[in-house]
Amino acid sequence: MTSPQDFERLSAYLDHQLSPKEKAGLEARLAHDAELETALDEMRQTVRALRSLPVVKPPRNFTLSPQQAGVRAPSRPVFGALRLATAVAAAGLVLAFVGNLVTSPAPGFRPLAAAPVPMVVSRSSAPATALPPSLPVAAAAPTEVPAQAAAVAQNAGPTTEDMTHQGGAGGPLATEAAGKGAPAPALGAAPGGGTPQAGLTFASPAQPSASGAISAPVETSQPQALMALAAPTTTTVPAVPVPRTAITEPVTAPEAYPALGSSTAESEALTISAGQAPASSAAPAVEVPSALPPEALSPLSGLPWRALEIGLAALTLILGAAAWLTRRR
Amino acid sequence: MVSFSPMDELALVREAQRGDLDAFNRLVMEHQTQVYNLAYRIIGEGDSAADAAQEAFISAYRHLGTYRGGSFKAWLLRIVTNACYDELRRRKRRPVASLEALSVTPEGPEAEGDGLLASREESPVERVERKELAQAIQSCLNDLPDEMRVVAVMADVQNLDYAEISAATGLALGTVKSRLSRARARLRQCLQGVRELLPAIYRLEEENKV
Repeated sequence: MTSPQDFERLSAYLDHQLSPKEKAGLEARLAHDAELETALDEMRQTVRALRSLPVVKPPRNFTLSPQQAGVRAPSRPVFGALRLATAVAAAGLVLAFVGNLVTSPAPGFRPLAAAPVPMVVSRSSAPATALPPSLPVAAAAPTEVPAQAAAVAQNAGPTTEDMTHQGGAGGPLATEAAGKGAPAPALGAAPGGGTPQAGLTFASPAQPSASGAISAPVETSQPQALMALAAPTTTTVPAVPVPRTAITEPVTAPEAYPALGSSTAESEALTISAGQAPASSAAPAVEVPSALPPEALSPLSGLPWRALEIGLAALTLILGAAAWLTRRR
Repeated sequence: MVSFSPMDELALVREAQRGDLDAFNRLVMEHQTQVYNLAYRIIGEGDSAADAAQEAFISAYRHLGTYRGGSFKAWLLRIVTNACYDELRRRKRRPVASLEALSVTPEGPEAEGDGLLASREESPVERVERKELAQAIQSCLNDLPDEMRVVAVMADVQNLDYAEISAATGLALGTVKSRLSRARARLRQCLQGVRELLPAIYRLEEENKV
C-alpha cells in the first residue's frame, strides 16, 4: 500500500520539486515497485485530467464602474477638504466662544449677577397677575424707578453707593448706574415724590417670597442690604432691583416684540410693561428706555458674538455632515 | 485578451493607485479570465464565482494601497482566494443553495464548451464526452475539503507553481506540497469511477502521457 509520504513524493516528483537525491531514490524504487509505479501513473492521469479542464469564459466583464469603485477616486480630495473645513469651523467656534467669554464679561456673568432678578420677577409677577391694582403701580414704577436708580447713583445716597461697591446683586446695577451717568439727567424728572412709593409698593409684595433672592445681595453686601430687606423704607435700595423685575418680566410676553421695533430687550420690556399698564404710564415709559441702555448694552455687545457662535456651530455641523456623507458614498 | 509586459503592468498599477479607474479596469480585463476561472473551480458554480470575482476586484481596487510591488497576479489571486472563502462560507450558511452548487451544473459555463481544448477538432460525441468529463472532474473537486481544493485548483487547473500558490494562499511551501499530494490522492480515487464512464477521452489523454 502506498503511504501518504510516498504520495507526497510522487506528487512532488510530478511537479519536479524533488532534489536530485530524492529523485534518484524514488526512481530506483519505482523500477522495482509495481504498486508504486501504478500509483504514480494514476496520479499523473489525475493531474492531466485536471489540466484538461477547459478555461471557462467569464459571464461578463468585471471592470468597475465609478459607483463600484466607491469613495476612492472622486471623493477623496473632497472628503479631505470637507474634513479640514469642518476642523477649521470647529476651531473657530471654540475661539468665538472663548472670545465671547473673555471680551464681554457682562453677558458671561450675567446669569450669575442676574440671578436675583428672575427671582424678583417671579415675585413681582405673581402679584402683578394676582392683584390687578398692583399692575398700574408696576407700570408706573419702571418709569420712575430707573430714574430714581440713576438719580440715586448720582445723588449718592450712601446706601446705594455702598451697595454698588460691595457687589453681589448690586454689582450689575452699580455698573449700570455708574456707566449711565448720562441717562440720569434725562430721567432726573421725578426722583422725588414718586420714588419712595414705587419702591415701597414693589418691595412689599416682594418681601414675603423675596428672602431667597434678596438674601443673595445680603450675603455679599452687608448691613445696608440687610436693612433693605428688613425695612422697605430704605427706598432706593429695593427699588433698584425692582425695576428690573418689571422690565425683565414683560420680555417673556410674546406680544412685546411685535409692538416694539426697538432692538434692546430691556427697552422692549419697559414699553411692554407700560403697554400692559394704563395708557397714562406709557408716556414716561418711552423716556425710560434711554435711561436703561446700560443693561441693554450687554445683549447688544453679546449679539455679534452669539450670532458668530451660532453661525459657526451651524457651519461645523453642515460641513461635518457633508464630509460624513461623501465618505459613506 | 490583452497582454501587458511586467513594466506596463506596474505602470498601470501605479496609475490605479493614484485613483485612475481606467488604468485599473485595464488590469481587470487582463486578469479577469484567470480570476473568474479560479473562483469558478474553487466554488464550483458560475453565479457565485462571478460574485466572488467581482467582489475580489472591488476589494482589490479599494486595497490597492496595500500592494507593495512583487507579482501583481499573486497579490490579486490572494484577494480572489479570500473572496472565494467568503463565498463558500456564505453558501454553507444556505444549505439549499450549497447542495445545488455541489451537484453538477450542466447549464454552467462549461456547457458552452468554450474551453482550451475546444479549439481542437472534435466530433459532437467527443464534445459531449469532454463536457461530461469536465463536469465529473469538477464534481470530484467539489467533494474535496475547501483548503485542499484551493491548492489543487491552483496547481493543476491554473498551473501555478508552489511559490505562487504559497504567495496566493499564505501557506508555507511545505503545507502547499502536502496538501496538494493529499488532494491528488483523493482526486485519484474519485476519478477512478469516472474513468470507466468516460474511457475514450481519458485514455486518449493517457496515450499522450509524458
